[in-house]
Amino acid sequence: MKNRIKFATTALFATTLAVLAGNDAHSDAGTNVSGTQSIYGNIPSDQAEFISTPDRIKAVVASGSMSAIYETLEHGERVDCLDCIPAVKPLLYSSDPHTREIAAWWLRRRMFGVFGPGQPYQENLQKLASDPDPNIRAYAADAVGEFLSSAGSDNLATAATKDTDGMVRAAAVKALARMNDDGTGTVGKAMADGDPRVRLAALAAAGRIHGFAEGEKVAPLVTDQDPIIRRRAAEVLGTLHVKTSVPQLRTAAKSDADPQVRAAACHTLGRLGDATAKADLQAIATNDADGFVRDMAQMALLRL
Amino acid sequence: MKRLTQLTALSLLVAAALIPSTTVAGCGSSSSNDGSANAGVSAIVFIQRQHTVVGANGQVTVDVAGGNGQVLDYDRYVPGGKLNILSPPRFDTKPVNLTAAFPDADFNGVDVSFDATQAVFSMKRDANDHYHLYTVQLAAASDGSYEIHQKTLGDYDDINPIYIAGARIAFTTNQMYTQMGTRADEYEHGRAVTQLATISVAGGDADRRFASQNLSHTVAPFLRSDGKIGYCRWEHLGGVNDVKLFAANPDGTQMVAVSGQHGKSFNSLFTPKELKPNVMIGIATTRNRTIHAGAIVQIDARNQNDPNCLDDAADHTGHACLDEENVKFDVLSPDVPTGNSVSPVGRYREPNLLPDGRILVSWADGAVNDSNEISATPPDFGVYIFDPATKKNQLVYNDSAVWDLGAVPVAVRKEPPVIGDLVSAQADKSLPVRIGSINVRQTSLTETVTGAQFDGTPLAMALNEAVKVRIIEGFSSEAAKGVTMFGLTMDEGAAVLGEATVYPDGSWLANVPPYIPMHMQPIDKWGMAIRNQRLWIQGMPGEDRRCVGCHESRTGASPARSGPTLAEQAQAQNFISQIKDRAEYPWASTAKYPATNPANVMQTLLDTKCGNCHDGGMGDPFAGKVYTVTQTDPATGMSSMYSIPYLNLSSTDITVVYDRKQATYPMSYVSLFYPAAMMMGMNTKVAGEQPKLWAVPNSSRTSALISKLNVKAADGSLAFKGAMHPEDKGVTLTNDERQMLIRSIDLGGQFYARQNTGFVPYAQDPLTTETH
Repeated sequence: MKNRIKFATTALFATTLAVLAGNDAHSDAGTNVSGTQSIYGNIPSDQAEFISTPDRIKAVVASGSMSAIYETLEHGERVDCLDCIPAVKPLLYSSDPHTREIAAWWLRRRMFGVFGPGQPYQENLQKLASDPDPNIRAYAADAVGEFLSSAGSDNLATAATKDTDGMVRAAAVKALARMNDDGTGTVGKAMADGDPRVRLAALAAAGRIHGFAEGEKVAPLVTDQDPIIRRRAAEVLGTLHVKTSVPQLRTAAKSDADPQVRAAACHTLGRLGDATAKADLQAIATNDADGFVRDMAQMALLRL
Repeated sequence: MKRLTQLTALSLLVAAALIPSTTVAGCGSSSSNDGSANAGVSAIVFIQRQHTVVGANGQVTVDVAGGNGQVLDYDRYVPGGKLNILSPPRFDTKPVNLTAAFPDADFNGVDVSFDATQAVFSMKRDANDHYHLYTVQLAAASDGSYEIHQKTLGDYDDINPIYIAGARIAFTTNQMYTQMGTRADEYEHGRAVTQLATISVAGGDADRRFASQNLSHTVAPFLRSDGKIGYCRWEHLGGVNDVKLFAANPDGTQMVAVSGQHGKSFNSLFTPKELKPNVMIGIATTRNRTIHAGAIVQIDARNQNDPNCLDDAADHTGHACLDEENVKFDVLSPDVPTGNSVSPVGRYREPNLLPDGRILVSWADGAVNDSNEISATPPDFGVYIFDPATKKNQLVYNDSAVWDLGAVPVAVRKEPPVIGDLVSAQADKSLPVRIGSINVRQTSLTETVTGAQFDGTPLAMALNEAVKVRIIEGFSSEAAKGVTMFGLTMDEGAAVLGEATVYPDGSWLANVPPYIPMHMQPIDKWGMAIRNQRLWIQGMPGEDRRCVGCHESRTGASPARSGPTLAEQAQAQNFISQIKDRAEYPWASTAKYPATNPANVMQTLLDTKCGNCHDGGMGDPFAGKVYTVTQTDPATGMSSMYSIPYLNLSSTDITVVYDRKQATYPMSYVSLFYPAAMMMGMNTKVAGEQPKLWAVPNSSRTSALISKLNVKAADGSLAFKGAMHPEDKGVTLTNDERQMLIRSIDLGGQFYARQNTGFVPYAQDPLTTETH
């Protein structure tokens, strides 16, 4: 167990900011070589980004204006405001994704009151696991990803595989991607999820997570019922360089009903550089009904 | 509207450029619509971007910059955009939509070919698509359609295309490449940053090539008359945080700074176009919250000391005409703020040049900042001609329902010379970059150096003591799981690629990995940095990137020498190694991610050599000595008090506040770095004896720890007065161990590295897995 030393937290009442500034510890600290002052030190004062105030944070949260919230919280990165936390916490469950994102972003920068027992991070994990409203569980997954704490990886993996609602599972997979974490095989499993939203999220995650090593699980999605998934699968197979997927891609390039799928398949065949696709690509480059598909086939031929 | 003659218009522009900025500012003129204009060309192309969407439930959403969340606007998508041609370019002409087949598309960049027959543009067809590049013929086919071809595709975005010489297209992309994979500055909230790339017009992705990587965004490439690609680069290196201009050869080689590193009075430069060699117009603004809109600025980066460089008609061959250190910035629209405050006269965006030299630009009246989105009143960008003499705008075209952006005249223009490849497309992508200096002691910088043997010593003199050059790789928090700050420091992640020997003639030479961002530190015989370069540099595989000195004058005479340097005679030192083997200095192992290179863990060294006396125990001379930091929440008055050991080098955890955030680190790390870190302006109050600045990030020579330890050079001389410590207590610290401490501090004092955060290299790097 860590021998963690956290000394007494006492409540005092500040007089004025001016007094606090007068007691500033860095007044005799010499040249600032590493701090925020040096970031903005060379910029005229009217160029420096303004800093939100606690009052403004609370006011804009109450206003519900998503743009004002985004602006104020981002400019409130360095604003300590304990009693803002209860005000901001509900924004994690806003219907607006930008608001949810910036709320988690701001909260994860708080020095107090977020990651402790019973505080927003743990409350959020609890909501992810058991809130009866699937929207709330999905938003909780978003927040776990945006908090960027690897402590939430297992919770997301559980949600991605066991939640009864596809929207929640998709959000959990997306959150794992945000954390550059495949959830110990969770993203690969999500490729076979029955909900297209989850499969789509898994494809996006697979193309982004550094250590994703289950590219072969993408190939079956080239024949998915959903043309958007087929298209994205064809693209991601190129990103992941799944050379064993050439047969599926050749079939898709020749005969998929959706021209965007055919185009993506041709493009990936070019990226994979497999000469066995050459004859197919030559035929497509000449005969496909869609000009963009012909473009991609011609481009792929240049790479073979 | 009376048409200006080309000569008159050019005269106005030149006259404006000659007027001192103080005079311009004092004239009190303002931007306003001054009626319609004749652009002097048969047509323009421009993009229209939507900003307002009415949902199925009737809810109106205004999106001017991805919810204001993006520092740089590149992946915002609002359906309903168009690529238009307007012929003639008049306000009462109905534009022709060249992309009518894509009603849900959005656009991000357009350019017109040199022969004015074709345009290249970036389009995202629908919400499930990415931004990719397309070309369109500007003359309609017999059936009235416009022939469009797709040039790029894939699981990533390609934006901001421009034509460059040799039938190629330059653009920026967020495609992952190199083993570092996604680069995503955490201020971008996880959005992958964009890097410079090119394709051929004919081959598209089949000829796709990547330039070196920056840690943050590269955007808005522009064509230079010398054939190079200019571009805007967000520079985030320790305390530096701005956007400046660079240029590179089309093959990604020879990246050089163009302007913005020195002497600009605003934070960022966006969307420049070249007016004439090394003279540009662009937008001066702050880095975010202005939708890249601001004042029009003329950027004169010519070497003012060489008359040849000032003569537009002269042949500049053999003349060093780019002087990035002494750039003149003339704000042509002085009433427009260059910060992010509400503008009384609107803001400009994406200027371009008409053939006669006039400025074609998008302009919107009103605030043009966050308040537009907040108040659901998006700015109304229209296309105008800006007159620098009168500071007035003349309307070309404006659809008040959408943004009219990126206007480009449809006019034949001169194609610059093709710059041949210094690095071929087929080159082995793992080939090293060769970097070095002819004489590292040569500099144009006028800084001073203090610490150890220096006391306000001019850099030019201090560099005489450079014996090595430390080459440092940088990486952002995307490389370190769960890390948003690298410790009690503003610096990014760092690894020492190597320390190259400086030979008696001042030369040095090293082979380093390609593509990655690096910065350098000349170091003295004690291994301490003399200067910390605050600019990322990069190189391409096989590229030779030798400089004259250490930020030498770019326009002065090169040092006279004959024959190869001593470093060349000795051959380049090889600093190529796998990421896992690079010299990183994680402070401690973490429970989840043990350090992959335990020999370089700082806490291990401290435990072994310092723990007996500096663990807070009976034998510790500072046992029980603490100072107290009290931080008060200005809103609630609640104070939190932390007791911090004066000097305790043990691994016991302690919780502190840094950068307004609570963090737990070993006492050793906090003891050493917290005193310097307290200079963050955190509303903190210290009680007790003021701690020494034991470790000052980037400055081992002013760090009290190193002064106390003292350092002995190979010639037996000591860096500081006093005895060696802990040798004076009977404990030997090897030179390598001292150098670990020095490097850790000089790198920036990072707690985290890739090697203690579970970094996994990107295994699907297209550079090594695909043919380009």
